[in-house]
Amino acid sequence: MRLPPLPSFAAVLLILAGCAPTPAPVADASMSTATHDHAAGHADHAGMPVMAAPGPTTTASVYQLPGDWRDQNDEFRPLSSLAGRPQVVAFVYTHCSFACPRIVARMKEIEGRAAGSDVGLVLVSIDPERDTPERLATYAASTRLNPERWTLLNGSDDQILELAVLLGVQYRAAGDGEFAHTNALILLDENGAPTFRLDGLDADVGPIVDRVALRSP
Amino acid sequence: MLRLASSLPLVLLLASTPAVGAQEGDSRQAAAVAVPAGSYRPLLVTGDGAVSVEPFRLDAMAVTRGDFLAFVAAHPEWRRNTAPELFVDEGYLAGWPSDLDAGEGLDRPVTEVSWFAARAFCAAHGGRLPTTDEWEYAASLPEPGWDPADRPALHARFLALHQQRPGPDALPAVGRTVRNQLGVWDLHGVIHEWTADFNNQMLTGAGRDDRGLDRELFCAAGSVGVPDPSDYAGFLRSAHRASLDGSRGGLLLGFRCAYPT
Repeated sequence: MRLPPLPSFAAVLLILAGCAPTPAPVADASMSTATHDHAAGHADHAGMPVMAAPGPTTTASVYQLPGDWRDQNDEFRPLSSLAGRPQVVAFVYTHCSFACPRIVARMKEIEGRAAGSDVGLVLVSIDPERDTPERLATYAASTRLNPERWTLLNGSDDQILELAVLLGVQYRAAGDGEFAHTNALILLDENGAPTFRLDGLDADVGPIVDRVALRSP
Repeated sequence: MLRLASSLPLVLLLASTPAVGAQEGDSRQAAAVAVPAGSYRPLLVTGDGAVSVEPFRLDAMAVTRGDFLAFVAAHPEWRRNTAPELFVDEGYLAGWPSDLDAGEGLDRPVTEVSWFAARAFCAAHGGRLPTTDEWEYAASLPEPGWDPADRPALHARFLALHQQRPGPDALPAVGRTVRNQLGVWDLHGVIHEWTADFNNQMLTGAGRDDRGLDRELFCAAGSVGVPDPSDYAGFLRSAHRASLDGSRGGLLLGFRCAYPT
């Protein structure tokens, strides 16, 4: 059963200056042209913000995605190997010095607060060229990521793109070795279907903890 | 490019027969237009505004219902009744009388196809979806006789084409509206088209602030893209892409494929 798209996920406006976004819904992609006439009365668009909103996601298992992912142990890990326990997924890159450490810290917080559960934590690298399995292993060691819980994945550009599209995560190379990317934590159930999502680096991880804490390891 | 017009019936014939992969790929790819390296000014402009595009080949016309029918005939896993829930939704090819009957108008652009289905079609033909930059670059090129440097005139032209576009029940056959100077048809005023990185096109900066990207990005000085307010059709396309979900198609959303040079 597919969830209906939420209007807030389709909000885009145009910015010339200012930092106070006022989202407005964008017409559904399948609407007829009769309701698509935007030409009238838009001279006042100047000064409104452009905002990239998180996209809608599937409700089916993303583990159906094919692909030879490799983990930090340089072992082949089809996504289906993540099944059997809930997984908290984030898209990061190890050379990220700003947002990603915060993301990992929040995932560690989930790990700590849900220590009685079987939750797993997955980091998908959006920088597969530099984040080789060996690099992922080094990063996992230096960041002290428990190998019983944490999976770090290296995949092809296509694989990453497909998974990101399914999970509503955006990322783009910003040019100087940095990437812009959505700071989201996505909870997958034991079958790999996304069931919850936290956006922004400051969001409280409580709701994810609550959802996984009931499960025993 | 007159060669394309005479090869179109052959392309359609080949596309309408159940074909093995190599034959599918050869005929479409051979008919594709060579797009030379160039640059264009995207809607959200940063720095000096120019984005370069490497050479590639692009379908002169959008993928048709007939093309897609041949594809699902040869690839049962992409038929309406059997395609995975992950990759399509209830609207997938909903307008077709049945999963192997595309109805009338086989030379109209196929719509109601998801990004995943479009990718699979292009891959089966030795190609891929164009990137947003590639597609927009091709779309920025004028028709013969128009001055490519006169952006205001071109923006007005593209907007006029967009405003005249037909509804989903009146889509013309491909290759019937406007052809640009490279020989690429119907990039304005017919359908929206999938791109490979539709999902990533709204990000313009490094987003290094320690707050959620969707709230903080456009407050980061130096990384904000400044949109060109005269390119309203470009804004509409950009906004439309931002609303898309890769598993859902749309009545006015189709695609064409890109290929290596």
